[in-house]
Amino acid sequence: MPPLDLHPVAEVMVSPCSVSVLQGDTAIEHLNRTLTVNTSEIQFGDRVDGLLCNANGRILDRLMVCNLGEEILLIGNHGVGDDTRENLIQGIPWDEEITVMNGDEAITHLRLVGKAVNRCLAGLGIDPMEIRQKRWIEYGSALISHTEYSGSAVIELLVPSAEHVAFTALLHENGAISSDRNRYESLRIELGILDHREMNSAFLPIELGLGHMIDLDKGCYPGQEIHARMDSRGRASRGIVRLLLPAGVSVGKHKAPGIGSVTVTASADAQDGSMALAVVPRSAITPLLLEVSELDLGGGLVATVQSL
Amino acid sequence: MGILGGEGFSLPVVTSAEVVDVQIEFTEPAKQAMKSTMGKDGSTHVVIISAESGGCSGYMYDMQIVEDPNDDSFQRLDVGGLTVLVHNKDSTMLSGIRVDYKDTLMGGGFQIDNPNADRSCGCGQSFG
Repeated sequence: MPPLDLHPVAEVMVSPCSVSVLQGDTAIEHLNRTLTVNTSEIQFGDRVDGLLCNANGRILDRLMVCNLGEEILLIGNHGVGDDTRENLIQGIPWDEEITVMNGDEAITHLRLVGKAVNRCLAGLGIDPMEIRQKRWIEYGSALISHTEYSGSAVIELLVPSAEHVAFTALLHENGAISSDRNRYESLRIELGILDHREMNSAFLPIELGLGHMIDLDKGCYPGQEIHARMDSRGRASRGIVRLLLPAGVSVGKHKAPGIGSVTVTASADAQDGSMALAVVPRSAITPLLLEVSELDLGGGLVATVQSL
Repeated sequence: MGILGGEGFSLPVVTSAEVVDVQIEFTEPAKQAMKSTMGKDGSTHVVIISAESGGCSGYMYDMQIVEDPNDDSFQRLDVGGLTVLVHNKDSTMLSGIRVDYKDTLMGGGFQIDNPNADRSCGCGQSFG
């Protein structure tokens, strides 16, 4: 993997998302019946990342869960909020009072990435050591957490949409710059940040390396039978990788001679061509043990395959 | 935490939109089993058939004998003199089901056949 092309301080990007809010005494229990992870022990301020899957084990949504005390905040994938809320409502037992609310317009999800994000945070008066992966800390009315992608710290910021511009200006004052969608896409591919283009019903969690978002010990949840079977029978037949290419590659399915179908989910321009996220047959990943492997996508386009 | 604007915040509440008139078929053994289970409570209590999140396929059936809640959110069905209730929110999932009863030692009890279900899990307790 070439050195990551990160900003010397930090870049702030809007990460499109959906936002739902649950309210009710049994909201946590209800969530626990639905998600792939155990949410029953989630405490005030805790963060749990889980998946909502269908009965075939395929991904419907990825949810970052935050326990706000009276409410449970769910940050989901872009464009599927209505389906997720419908899914949550349908399963509410008749004798439980749970309210599901649409917060899509209320909260903006920002991501802060760079070589010195801590300097930027310290400038805001935040102790970077306080920001942890499984917790949300409060900064004014914003919430802050931390995720590790490909060894780089990504700061997750949830900001009331009404304060988004002012909050971004504050980050600018402390050395961050704003980046556009194209730059976000490049960083997403470089860092292996998956979104709705990967985490959708075309794929199973294990194919995307999301085994850490599945808890096979928690009991039944939609898709659990399939996930348990895959776990007991071994690895998935395909997996997600990063491709480095000498030229651009289109998003969609490609036929790799002798390998099979390759699904490119995202691509962006890179210094010497392009890079992409792709789900490829397992046979194309195994040679990674030899450090570098190549994948012929046909038409003279040969990609270097990297694990995420 | 004030991200939602503190106390009194206001967000659009999402409600389940579709409600259909529920029709359920009960086999004779199912009717007899319900009558026998309810005994003398048949005049004051009702059977609520519902669906809730859970199981491997997404939703699980539930049958409960409770005191009549007299709540307009339920649809009332008369089944051989007994009252069966289905909540409006479950109407699309449960309309058209067939309730049977099997009197066997292994795997016995009420059985639900649901034409709305795309699949059921291995144990038959959940559907999706």
